[in-house]
Amino acid sequence: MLAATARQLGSVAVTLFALLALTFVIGRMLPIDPVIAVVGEAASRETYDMVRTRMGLDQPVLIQFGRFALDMVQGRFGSAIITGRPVIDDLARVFPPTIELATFGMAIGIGVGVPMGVLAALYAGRWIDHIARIIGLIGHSAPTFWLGLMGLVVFYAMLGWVDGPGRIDDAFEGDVDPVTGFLLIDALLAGNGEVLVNAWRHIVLPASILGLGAAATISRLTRAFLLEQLGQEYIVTARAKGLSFARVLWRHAFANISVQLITVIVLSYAFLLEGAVLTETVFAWPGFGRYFTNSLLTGDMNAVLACTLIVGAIFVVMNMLADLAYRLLDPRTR
Amino acid sequence: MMTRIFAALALLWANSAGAATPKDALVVAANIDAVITLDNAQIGEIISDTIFTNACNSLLQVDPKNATHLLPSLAESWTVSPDRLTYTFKIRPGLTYPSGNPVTAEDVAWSMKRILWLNFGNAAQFTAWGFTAASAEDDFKALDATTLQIRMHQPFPESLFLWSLTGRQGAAVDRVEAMKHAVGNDYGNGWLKTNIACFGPWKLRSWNAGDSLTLERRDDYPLEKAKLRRLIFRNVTESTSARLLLEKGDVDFASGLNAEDLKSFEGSTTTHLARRTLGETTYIGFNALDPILGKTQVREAFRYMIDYDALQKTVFAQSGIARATPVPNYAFGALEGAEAQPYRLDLDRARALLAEAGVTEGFTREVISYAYSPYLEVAQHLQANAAKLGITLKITPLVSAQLLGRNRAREFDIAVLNWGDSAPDSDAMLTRHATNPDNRLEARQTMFPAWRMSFFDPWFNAAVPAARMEVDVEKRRAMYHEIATRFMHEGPNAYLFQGVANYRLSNAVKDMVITDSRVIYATATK
Repeated sequence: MLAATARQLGSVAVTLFALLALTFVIGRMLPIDPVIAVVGEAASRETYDMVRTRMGLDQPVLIQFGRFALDMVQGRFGSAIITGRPVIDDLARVFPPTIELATFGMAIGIGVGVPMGVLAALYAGRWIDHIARIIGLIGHSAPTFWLGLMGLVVFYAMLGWVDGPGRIDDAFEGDVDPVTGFLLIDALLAGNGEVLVNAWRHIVLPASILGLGAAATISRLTRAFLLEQLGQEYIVTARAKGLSFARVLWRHAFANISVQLITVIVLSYAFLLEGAVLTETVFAWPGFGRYFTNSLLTGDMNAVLACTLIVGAIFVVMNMLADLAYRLLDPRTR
Repeated sequence: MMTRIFAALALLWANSAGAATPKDALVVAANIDAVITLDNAQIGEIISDTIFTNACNSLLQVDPKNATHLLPSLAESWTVSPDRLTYTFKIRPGLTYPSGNPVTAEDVAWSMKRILWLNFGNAAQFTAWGFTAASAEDDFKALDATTLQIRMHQPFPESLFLWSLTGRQGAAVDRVEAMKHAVGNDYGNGWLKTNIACFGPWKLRSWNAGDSLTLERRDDYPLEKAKLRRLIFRNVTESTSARLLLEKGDVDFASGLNAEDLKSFEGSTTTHLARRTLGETTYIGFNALDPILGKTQVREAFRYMIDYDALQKTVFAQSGIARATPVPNYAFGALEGAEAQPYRLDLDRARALLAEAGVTEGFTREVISYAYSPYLEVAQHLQANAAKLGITLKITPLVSAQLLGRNRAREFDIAVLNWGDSAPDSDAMLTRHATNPDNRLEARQTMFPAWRMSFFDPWFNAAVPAARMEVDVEKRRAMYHEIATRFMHEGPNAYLFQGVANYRLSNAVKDMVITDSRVIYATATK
């Protein structure tokens, strides 16, 4: 067990290092000039050269990477050009809103996707199945940007059921001290109902848009996995033995697809954590996705490399969690 | 604790209406992603400049009613020596920064020297007058606590120099506070990137990068105080989102609205439109080192391939005024009317000009452009019309850093670009666009678009500085007319549209000052 864990950790380290190296090399090879972002377009040659040297960009690529890797090991990501702040501080600021949004979205994705997939499998070919498939199709194929804008027009502008872009109304800005960075939790901890309500009304719509995409994937795969199980002989045997359909469905068929389902859910969550840049843009959500995208567009390499590493780490950790779940749920893999 | 949590949860399930903007705050929806620094030595983007110049007073200010008339601000009075080589400013006594430190003439002098010492892009605002980092100590001097003296190297027209002190480079930075946070020789640059330490009607309350920036009224501001307590910039990068927020009353002021969203407000009874022309131009640059594009007639031919009328009605319907000159329409010496835009789509004329240049065969060139509107549409427009003359243009959309990198390295054929300078004088634009101190590649005079285009013409190099030094106002105006007209036809660029900013405001907002030179939030009431 210890050896297996060590092997896995070694594999994680190699994966992250390779990811870092690849991103760094690609970043340096791209014809993007990060110096302009610092000095401004109208800067003189002298200033440009001075800042370029200060940023270490006059050094050979290997030395630049070596310095960066050393900084990484010591937890120094450097400062971001786009905010002028340490990247680590930026990540601490932009990650909680994304985790909050992604987790809420995932809860909706699971809450809608799993029951919808089960119903679609049970009533395969019938109207419930068709409705589930249409919802899945919309979730998959409708552009997030469009869905977000339509959601705003209908539920915010026309019906007024939810609040608009942003995490909170300006009237409540600063009313709750950030403890966890998760506004809903901070409002709960502070017992500030007004802020909680306001934050809730702001997050519901973007989380639902994200959740719809996740629900589409989860529902489609739940249906497919379950249909496969329901066609197996052990299901017929169980029914022949007199077990109730509900027991056969949940204790046997659903239990058998739970391992695959968890993998799907974990990876879907990882994709949401990576940052839903379009959703964050439409809903003016100050999250990781927009930060990463802006860093890329301005050639802010410190931020880009740190974000890449974070995204890589998210997937590595999520894969590890999926593996762990496999082992817990499926005795054959232990 | 649990009781509080349950109380909050109970309220959550109760249906509550969304809150409107606070009564004592002005909420602005704007794209503040571009705010990467609040240090006036380094600020380059319009939005950062807007925030800084609202928070900080400069030595002088532009009269909102007349962009060429100056009013006192930090300086209560000023005198200019008869030889125009010495400017003396009397700083208002008794002013303090938010830190409590007094505002002194030494601070103002230091703030200006600091810009030169740090030598970011804004240093050009001083080097253009002959000041250098080495001469700064002698050029900017505090004679006493309230008297600032600036020594010129050349007798420029005084209105021209004085106007330059109305912008961010004329602000007083809190020297004591900035130097408390200095690291090495950065004169507090690292700290001032995320802080504002100056004298003005607002102070920085918070800046959550990518989310919001809030200025708070200084109640101890001794001049006319801001009417509202807070000025909140909410980062809204998507036009439709900004529109919906304004419609629902969740913001008071929306900027960056696209043509479609602006149009949707037509007939609105709850909001109104405010527009201002910007000192910003969209243009097509041609690399003069190219054997074909280097020919004056070929560049002139391209100008006749542009359908200004069609672009005005579509891509630039709300966001631009057709002008074939880089000088903004409100600037001193600017061309007006048909003189400023004599071109129309005329492919026969373009064909004749190409033949005149000896270009009878079709050719292929690359056009680099920003990957978004309106630049990409301009590139496509030129591509379609050039194709009718057998010219193949291959468009490469690029992100900003890529595009500017290639432009600054002269690694392009044709580029769709923009350039901004809000100075209300022809000199500002013509100095950068028409003159080129040294055309050698290794000279890398990248702050001059003329150098980037490899354009070098001794006539312009002589004519622009001569106009700058001319004291006779009418003669100077005539000189700029001649330079601008000649540059329009012989220069390396095809200028298309002067930018127009469109703002949509809630009718609840009153008394805001929106002029060509700036937007002033301190006067706004609700």
